[in-house]
Amino acid sequence: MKLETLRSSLEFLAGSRDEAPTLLTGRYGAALRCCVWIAAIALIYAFCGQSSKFIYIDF
Amino acid sequence: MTRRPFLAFSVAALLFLVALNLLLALWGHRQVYVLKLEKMRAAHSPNLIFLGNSLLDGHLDERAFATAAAPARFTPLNAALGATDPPEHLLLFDYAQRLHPSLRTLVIGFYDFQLTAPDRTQPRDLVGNRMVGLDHRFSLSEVSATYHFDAKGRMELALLRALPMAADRSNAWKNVELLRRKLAAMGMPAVATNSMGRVDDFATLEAGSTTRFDAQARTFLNHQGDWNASYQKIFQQARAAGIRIVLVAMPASPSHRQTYYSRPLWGQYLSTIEDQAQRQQITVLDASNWLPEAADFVDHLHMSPAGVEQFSTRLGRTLASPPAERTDPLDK
Repeated sequence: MKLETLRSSLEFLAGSRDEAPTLLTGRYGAALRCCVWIAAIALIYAFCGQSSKFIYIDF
Repeated sequence: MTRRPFLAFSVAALLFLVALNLLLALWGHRQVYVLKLEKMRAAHSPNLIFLGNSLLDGHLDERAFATAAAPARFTPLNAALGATDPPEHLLLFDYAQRLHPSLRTLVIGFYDFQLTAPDRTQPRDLVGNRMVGLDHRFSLSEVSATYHFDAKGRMELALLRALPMAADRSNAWKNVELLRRKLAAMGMPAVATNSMGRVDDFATLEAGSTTRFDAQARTFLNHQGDWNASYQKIFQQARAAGIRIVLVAMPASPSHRQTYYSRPLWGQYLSTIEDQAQRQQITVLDASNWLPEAADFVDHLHMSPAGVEQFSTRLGRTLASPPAERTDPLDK
């Protein structure tokens, strides 16, 4: 059941499912969706500089 | 998605971005360049200022220097900042002059063609310690003029100064890079590192080939080039304030001297620099051969602690002695 919910949540977030699963609906669901996108923004922000060449690392 | 949840998400995202920027702005007070600016502010009536990059930042024993230069009663302020270029040196000098009218001597440590290479900084280059250019101690117009930014550059600069998230991006990336290096080192032979980074990485800051090195010297000599624009302004300001200017060719490792400084074109370049400096009452001191041992360096560029002490003592002694008593060939 939990795996099924996780799977449907990931599918909804990734855009392959139209209906939001119960985990992502309602007041708490909206907050959870916010958290997902915040985490995505934070990860993109931290990892988008991978092509930068660091020589000095002491700044 | 209906309009209401969309608005709620937008507000939440906006709040998150504002919070992130506020956190980064607070965290920014602990950055190396901010600490340097604070150190400059806290200095008590210095009469000598050092400007330069990592060859001097953390690589000058101020106590050994002041002791060796005791007769001259120097109170040094080391404003050199690692991984910076001449425009940042100009900003740091401006700041020091604003804070300390007591300054009477300016010492600039240089390496290779640093004194004459043109500035080509773009707003996107202002990362790491070069973020001095984004600090609010300096006005937008002052920074734009220092870097010669056009209207688009000024807009980018204003945006970077307003958004810590954009300005501080390289600090976040640096931590990811450190994590990546830690993971990559697992189970692998140890790579030589020092406090500034990986030893081998600093070799990439050298010219790379003698052909390229000679080409840089030839470009300057053929076009009768002048000082770098930022240094030119520093010299003007220093002269106007009655500050004595000393340019120091920083100690170079034996391999660097053998590969690059033994080139005839380097001799011609340095000699031209010396003539140019002499005409403008600027002292040039060639310290590139002061440390003959490879053990005096921790990588291709930077001095070891023992090298730092040796260099600082000799520099202090040399600057404190009257010009007639100096023995260095380029020191007039």
